[in-house]
Amino acid sequence: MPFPAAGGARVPLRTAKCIRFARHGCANRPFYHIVVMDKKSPRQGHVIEQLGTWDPLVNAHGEKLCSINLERTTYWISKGALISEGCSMLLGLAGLLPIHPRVYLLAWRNRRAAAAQKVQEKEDAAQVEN
Amino acid sequence: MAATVTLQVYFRSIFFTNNAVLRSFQRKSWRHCSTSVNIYNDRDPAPVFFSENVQTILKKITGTDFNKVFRQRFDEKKLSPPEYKFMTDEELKQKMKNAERLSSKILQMPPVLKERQAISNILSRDPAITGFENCKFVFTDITYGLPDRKRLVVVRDPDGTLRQASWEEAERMNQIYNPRPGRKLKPPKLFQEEHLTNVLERGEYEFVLDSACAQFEPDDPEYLRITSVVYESVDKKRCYQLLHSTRHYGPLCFYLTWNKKIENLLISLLQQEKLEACADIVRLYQLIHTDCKSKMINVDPNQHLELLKAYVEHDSLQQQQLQLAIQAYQEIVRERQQYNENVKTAHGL
Repeated sequence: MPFPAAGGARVPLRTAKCIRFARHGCANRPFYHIVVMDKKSPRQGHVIEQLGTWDPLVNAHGEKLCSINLERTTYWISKGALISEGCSMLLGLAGLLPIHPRVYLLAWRNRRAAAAQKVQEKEDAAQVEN
Repeated sequence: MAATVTLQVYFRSIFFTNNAVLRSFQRKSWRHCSTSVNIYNDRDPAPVFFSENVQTILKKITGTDFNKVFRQRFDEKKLSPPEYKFMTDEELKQKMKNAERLSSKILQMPPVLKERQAISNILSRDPAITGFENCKFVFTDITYGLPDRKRLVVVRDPDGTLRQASWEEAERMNQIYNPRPGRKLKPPKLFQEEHLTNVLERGEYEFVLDSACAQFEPDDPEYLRITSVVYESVDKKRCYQLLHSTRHYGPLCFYLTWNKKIENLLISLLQQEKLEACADIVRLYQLIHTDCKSKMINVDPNQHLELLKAYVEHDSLQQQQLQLAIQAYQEIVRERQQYNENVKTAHGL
């Protein structure tokens, strides 16, 4: 009998726990639960506790929504739970953790790509004029 | 403290109306005056509204007509057939007491609050993450047991600013993660200007007010606008009786008194020969406008007519009409007295 998505799995002693995403939703419509799990359990494995949700698709208001149970998240972080990269990027954006270096990296790459595209467009326009 | 308790209970109580009842009360002859929308934004009405004297007066003038308070409502709750019972006097008294307690719960007034301040609390700026995403990130704290107003909602803007969410965003998030019965994620079209006027023309004031209570927080500028429009409309058509014995009558009287527009209400009450209610409203006027002239003259508060006359003489904006109404009232009372005496003499008593 599987445990519910909200959690309930046994908390094993002396094993690494991890705060990470568990995929819910369906094909072409991702939706994630932010959960605490045993580090070695599979992505859809038994959940110790659900800490929040993460909807990676932009809604009608131009927002991506994330909900976090801050009380339990800080509890598990204090217990030494590991945090997956995606989760720590999200928690960094939320202001709970320092911003993840990868966010800076991606932002810089995006800015560089945008600038390059601008230059390219200008060149194309100049060519069309000639 | 009293304010918070009232707020909490108010948030829990949501009622819908029986439109058929409203329609049957509707009056035919309208009298049109100019309308203006007044919102409480210069002086804070909350301390006045929650003060003990004002609350007792408002509760008293609301009235508890059990037939109206416990009337049939089409609120999707299952109906139960009426029960007929034989009871002793004591049991009946107990039942009446219970009914009174329940009615006071049903008639709890929505709080009258000042318009809320916009939130502009910036937590951190990080321009180095500009370009990471072109959309906003909204983070909601879903810790158990937090009241919605204290729930932390933060937004990371595309330019890297981390700020507290505005009221609109926070309310939307609360409705997504912690939905309230009767509240919609998107406000119903009923509250849009063009639809609202149509509904108000049909006289469904209580329905609009109840829906506004369910949809908005009491200090939402939108709530204040809608209630103000409804109260103005009620005042214009003088159908105060539609809201009598409902939880909106107190705030209606408070609104009219606050904006010094009680003349029509007083005239309407005098026509129904409710002198005591008139005196209560004048007393309310004196409590709200502490610097009014009629308060300087010490009139015995138990002399209802004297109190009213003092108000008419010193503070009223439509003296003549009110004086005429008072005269008509006195005439009717005198005639009735005369008639009773005549009946008595005819019976040889």
